[in-house]
Amino acid sequence: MRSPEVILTLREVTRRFGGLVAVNKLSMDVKEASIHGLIGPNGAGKSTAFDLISGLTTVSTGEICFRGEAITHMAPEARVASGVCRTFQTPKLFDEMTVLDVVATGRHLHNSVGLWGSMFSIGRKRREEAKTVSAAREFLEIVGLLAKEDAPVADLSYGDRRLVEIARALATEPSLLLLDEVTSGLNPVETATVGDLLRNQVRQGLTIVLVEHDMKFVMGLCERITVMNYGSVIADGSPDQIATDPNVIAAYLGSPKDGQRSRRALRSEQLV
Amino acid sequence: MLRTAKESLSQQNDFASATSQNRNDWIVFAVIVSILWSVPLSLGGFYLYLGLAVAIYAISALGLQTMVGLAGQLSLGHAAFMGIGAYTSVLLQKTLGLPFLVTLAAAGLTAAAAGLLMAQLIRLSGVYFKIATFGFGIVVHQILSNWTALTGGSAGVRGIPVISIIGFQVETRTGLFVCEALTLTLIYGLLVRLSHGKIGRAFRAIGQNEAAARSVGIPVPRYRMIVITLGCAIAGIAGAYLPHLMRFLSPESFTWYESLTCLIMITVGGLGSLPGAIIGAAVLIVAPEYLRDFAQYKMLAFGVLLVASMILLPKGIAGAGAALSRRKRIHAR
Repeated sequence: MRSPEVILTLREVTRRFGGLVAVNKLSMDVKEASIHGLIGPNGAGKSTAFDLISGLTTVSTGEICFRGEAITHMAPEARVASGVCRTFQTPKLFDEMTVLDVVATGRHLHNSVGLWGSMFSIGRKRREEAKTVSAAREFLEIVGLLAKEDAPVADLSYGDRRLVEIARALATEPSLLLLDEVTSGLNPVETATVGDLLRNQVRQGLTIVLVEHDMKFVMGLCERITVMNYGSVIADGSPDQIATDPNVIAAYLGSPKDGQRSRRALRSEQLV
Repeated sequence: MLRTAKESLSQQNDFASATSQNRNDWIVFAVIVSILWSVPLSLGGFYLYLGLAVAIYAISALGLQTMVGLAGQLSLGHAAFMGIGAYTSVLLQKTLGLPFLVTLAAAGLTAAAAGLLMAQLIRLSGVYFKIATFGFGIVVHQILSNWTALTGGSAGVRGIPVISIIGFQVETRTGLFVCEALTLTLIYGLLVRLSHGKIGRAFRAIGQNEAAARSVGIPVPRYRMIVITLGCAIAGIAGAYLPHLMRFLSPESFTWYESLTCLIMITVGGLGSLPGAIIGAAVLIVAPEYLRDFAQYKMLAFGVLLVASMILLPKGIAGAGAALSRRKRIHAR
């Protein structure tokens, strides 16, 4: 029986691109209000797994369940409406908008004005717009960028772009947030800020799945970690189990024969 | 304490600047609309004729701007929808004797239906959709030229009926201009409203990054379909006026050259800017009239104008104007 606090389940999810199996029978359970890491070497299929969960790519075989309901064939926007939101490996913002506008796009599903209302309604449009803007400001405040709300996003630093993307994703009020390499390109201070921010959100009930290369960040933050290599799961467990798993070490650092080199490299990756 | 006070102050400032963009759009709206109404009506004669042509293409360019500049759905067959509108309106007037307001609405609806049909092609992604819109434009032109029984073929339609609105006959150019200018003002105003707030933001999001737009729950396929249909409907409405200006209707007004000209209008005026679409239409209609001696070089000149504007004014005339007014404001401080 499915344990009640599991929010996301992947059952033998496979995605083929022609002859290439990008994701091969991926199964994982994500517990509610936890941070779950999804790691693996480059090309392991982590980002494809995110595309499958968020619906940007269709599943070849297998099943994805969110809160016990199959979302395998739902459109991406319907998944957002049911509470799944994601960010991208390199921040995908709307480059000609201001910071506030970008975050306000995250409120799309919370604003009840439609096409006609947008042209013909006066009072309701103004009220809904005011709600959208004040909510967007709240989420900007959470990531600490309220002071820059009028800046064009094109002028922001890389770290700030990441934060805007997180604020935009939070603005959809997801219950499951998929973060794709959220710390890449961030300096240690920014990384720590993001870590605190995520912990805070999880405390308030958000569930997060992290695809991540910064091992220290993953090990410090995640309750459970799934490791992929060549599209398949090679390990699944707590950070401590993962750090000592021979398969994981081999996948990251080459064959176990050159044990000497591996261990040195391992230290530099801060796995141990 | 200090921090909250500072924050609330900054919030007030920010609120002012967030709404000031909308206010600027309405100021520009007022300026453009008043020039548009006053110049042709006060100068009359040839200027009135120019005003009639500018207004038609400005309406059409507004439709294209909404599709292309705002929501990033490039169409290479825009003139075809003007053609669909023009033929629908005139044929309904001639054969069924319907009043102009009805045929104008029918022109918009028919062009919208054709646009919806073309929008089905968005299943083709990226460059394939753009090429398909080009093909769609050519097919429509061929139908207008060759379905002789319905459209009169390449010989065109003569004897364009006089516009009659609620029993009032619009026989003069002034009357026709008032109708066009009213239509333009109304459509421009509605599009300014549409571009503010949630829907406009969603359209811009789709135009700037489709995957990101989907990731925040904007129903991208549906919105693309809506904006394409809307842009085409507006082209149809613009087209309905064209035969009344020319007193003649021929498929040659709706070739792919004309589609390209519409695209150059919005680019020269400023991609993404609604006033830019109107300014671009004015430039591309008025300039050739004063350069008649060089008529055979018209497309060459348009090409040069396009390249020059992309190099010198990448955001078009409207973008340059906005940058200039910003600079002035900063200097004034």
